[in-house]
Amino acid sequence: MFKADRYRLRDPLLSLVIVSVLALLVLFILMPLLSILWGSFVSRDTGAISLDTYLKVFSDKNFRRTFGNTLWLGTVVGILSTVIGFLFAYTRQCIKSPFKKLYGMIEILPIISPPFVLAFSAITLLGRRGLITYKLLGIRNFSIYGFWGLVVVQTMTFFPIAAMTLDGLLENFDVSMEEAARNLGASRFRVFRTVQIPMLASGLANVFLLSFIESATDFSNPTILGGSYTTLATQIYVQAIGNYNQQAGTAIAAILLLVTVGVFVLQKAILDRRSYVTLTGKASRVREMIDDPKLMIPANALCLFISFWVLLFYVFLVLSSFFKTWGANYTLVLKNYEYVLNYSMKPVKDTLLIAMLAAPMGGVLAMVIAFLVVRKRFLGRQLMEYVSMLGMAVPGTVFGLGYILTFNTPPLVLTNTIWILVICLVMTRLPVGVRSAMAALRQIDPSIEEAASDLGARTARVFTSITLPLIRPAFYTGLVFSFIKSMTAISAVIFLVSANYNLLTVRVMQHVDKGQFSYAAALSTLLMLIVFAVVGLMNWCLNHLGRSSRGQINLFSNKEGL
Amino acid sequence: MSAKGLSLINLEKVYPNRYTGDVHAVDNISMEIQPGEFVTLLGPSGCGKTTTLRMIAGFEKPTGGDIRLGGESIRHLTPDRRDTAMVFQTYALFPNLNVYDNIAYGLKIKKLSRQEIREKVTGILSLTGLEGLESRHTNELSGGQQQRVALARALVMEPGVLLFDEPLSNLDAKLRIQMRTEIRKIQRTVGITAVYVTHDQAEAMSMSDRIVILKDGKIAQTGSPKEVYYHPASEFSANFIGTANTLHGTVKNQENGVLSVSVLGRELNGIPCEREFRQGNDCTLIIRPEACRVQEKGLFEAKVTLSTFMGAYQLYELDIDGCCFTVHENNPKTKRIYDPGETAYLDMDIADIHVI
Repeated sequence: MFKADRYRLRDPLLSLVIVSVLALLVLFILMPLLSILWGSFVSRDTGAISLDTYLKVFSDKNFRRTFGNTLWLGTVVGILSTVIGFLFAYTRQCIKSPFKKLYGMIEILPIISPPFVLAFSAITLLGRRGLITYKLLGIRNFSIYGFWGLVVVQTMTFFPIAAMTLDGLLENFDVSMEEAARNLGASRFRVFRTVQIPMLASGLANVFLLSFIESATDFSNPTILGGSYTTLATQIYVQAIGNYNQQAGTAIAAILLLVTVGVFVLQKAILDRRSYVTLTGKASRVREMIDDPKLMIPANALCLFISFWVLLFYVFLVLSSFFKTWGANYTLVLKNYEYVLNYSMKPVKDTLLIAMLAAPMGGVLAMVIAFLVVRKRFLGRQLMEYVSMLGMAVPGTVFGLGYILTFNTPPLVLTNTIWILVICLVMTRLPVGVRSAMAALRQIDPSIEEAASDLGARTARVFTSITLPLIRPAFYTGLVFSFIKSMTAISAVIFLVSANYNLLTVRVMQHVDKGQFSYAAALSTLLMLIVFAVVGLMNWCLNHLGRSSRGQINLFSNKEGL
Repeated sequence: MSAKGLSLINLEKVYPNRYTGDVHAVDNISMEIQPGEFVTLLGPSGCGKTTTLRMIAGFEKPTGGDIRLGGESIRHLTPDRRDTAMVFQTYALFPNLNVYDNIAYGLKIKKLSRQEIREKVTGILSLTGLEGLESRHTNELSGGQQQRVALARALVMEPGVLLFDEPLSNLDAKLRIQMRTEIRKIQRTVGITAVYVTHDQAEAMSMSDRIVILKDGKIAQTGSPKEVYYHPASEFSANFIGTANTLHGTVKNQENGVLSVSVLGRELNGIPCEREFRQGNDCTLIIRPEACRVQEKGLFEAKVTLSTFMGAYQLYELDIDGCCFTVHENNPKTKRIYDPGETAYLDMDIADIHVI
């Protein structure tokens, strides 16, 4: 009788799902990272375990410079992104302005475009023969390549993410706290100094560290604009693929991994230490906007100035795709598109196919993981949560190299297949999906699911009939988001493309490599067009077909998810 | 009808806590609930009533003891396999489904035919007064209607036992009274077994066949509403159900179930009492405020410290030799009203005194 009881207790499907998800995570996230660490300790020739590789790498002057470069660039870009991001967020949330729609758009642009587009415009406009530097100002020896070029482009690329995060924080502050401070006699500046800044402190630190990680793991901008200013993320590729020195590449990857994981742990510690932000929902009342011209005018002027440059860069990306000869003849022609459409249709199709496979797979996996982690208690729950979040701290190039090391040899050979690309995209985008799904799930009263279970629904049925429909908006948002990110990803997948399957972004970098900037710009423009079209189409479908789906997807409503 | 009896046998829930020692949320509770009986678990917050209910439903795993429904142990069954249906405090309606589909949800899982589902749902809709609201979304319903849908969704399953987790606490006072009458009426009509958790003693009194008062995870008293009201087993029970005055006295003697007690310098004779006392024992007298009168002559001389008109009764607080005493003088319209500071006499019928 007792045995029978035990048997009935089990939900075999649930156990099966838990085991499979854990197996997937271990195989496709942990294994590649472990093989990087392992590979950096084990000598290729003798098979002995030693620190030789590290010693060799660290004794190399060039490596030490690269290491310092990465940290320094990350710090400068981190500070600038945080400051500008805060300026945007504060202006949007607290200061009267007729341009808030524009600022919102500026915050979204870099999220839906490939990470390297601003670098092209930097060259067009500010390069050696740049339209502004050479033509307009007549400067002869100006060089955009190197540290300052990277600072400008990376800051322009990453500050909007900082702005969006801080935006969300400020929006959720309870305004009555600020009103209470005013009521007690505090001046506006005093409220800012004693209420808003202390409450934002950890948010600012968090945003700084996030921007630091973005900069340190950025692959494409340093490749295009770095020149002799080398960084770790690009050196991994240069060593492992360019110089066929896999062991050196592995060691650099391991070091970069340790740096980013360290920063990530630091960031988590800061976030966990305290949280002033009351997450009880919307702020109770609308904040009254500051209309003092002494603040309003300079804040808006600064934001407009920065917005102008961002927009200018985007406009010139599109324009430069029509230039007859890059840097010499600025006649607008269609020949770049003719070339690209003739010779790059295969990558376009491959990219679409892969993104369409990766987005739903990643979306469903993220939902399942979030459901299990938030609602179920089982052995390995924490492992599941941490491993699925690990991707957040892992640089794309490290991931890509890890995949090559792990899946190039039996038992599981995936290189040269479409699946290695799909799986890699699913796993690198997993943290964002899981995080927003977890946030959505926590909003739902658990007793709704208990009610379903009480009425006889098994776990799988509860999930499909209640949980999934309720978090559908988050699901669609995640789907669109991971589609975009799959289309625009570069750093991990550049290791994994093959003769069989090539991706648009990688193709762009290949053009850059050969100096064919016009083709690269044309392809990038095409890529962005496809992304806009697909996002628009999905929004339209959800609005017109799903009548019962309350609320269209608001792609960027879930700020924590980003 | 599928009403089943429910037995809790030495039921126990211990939450381990390294710092403060283990917490016995439910401590060795046993009770038998008859088929068709309406039992209320009543107690202050933290007494273990909700934990007990959730163990019956299967959302919490007991750390000891057994739960039997219709004679069979359900302790090791997951919630979906148990023949129980719960009405949640927050209603927990599925916001993605309309009223009809909310109610039909469990029936679909049972794989009933469309025809059967339609019949059952229609029947339950009319029983709960929800006709015409089938296609409404849950956010288009009033609080009372949401409550009815939650009840209908549980009832339509015809479960062995119906579980209520403080279902009325989100309603306003008037609606609460209306709904409790209605729930009781429906429960009687259907003849279903019900376990109802609340901290509201008025709800417990008005709805239950039997009330189980819980304190610190243990059963403090079980009995019909009348029993627990007139014969509370302890000062805790007496104070939790209604208001009670307690006086401490000494037993003079006991003969044929009739007690003489010395209290506040007076001797009260002829108090009915089933409990055995010995001469000289301490005892506690429980007197309900509405069983007392404030008048010109009586048992105890008292000073009026508070006198408030409450409509249905005049509320007095009296000071008798330093003892505070509450009196509800019913229908005060034609009675002499004493003001604070005045001296009056407290009187009561000896038969209304309960001794513990």
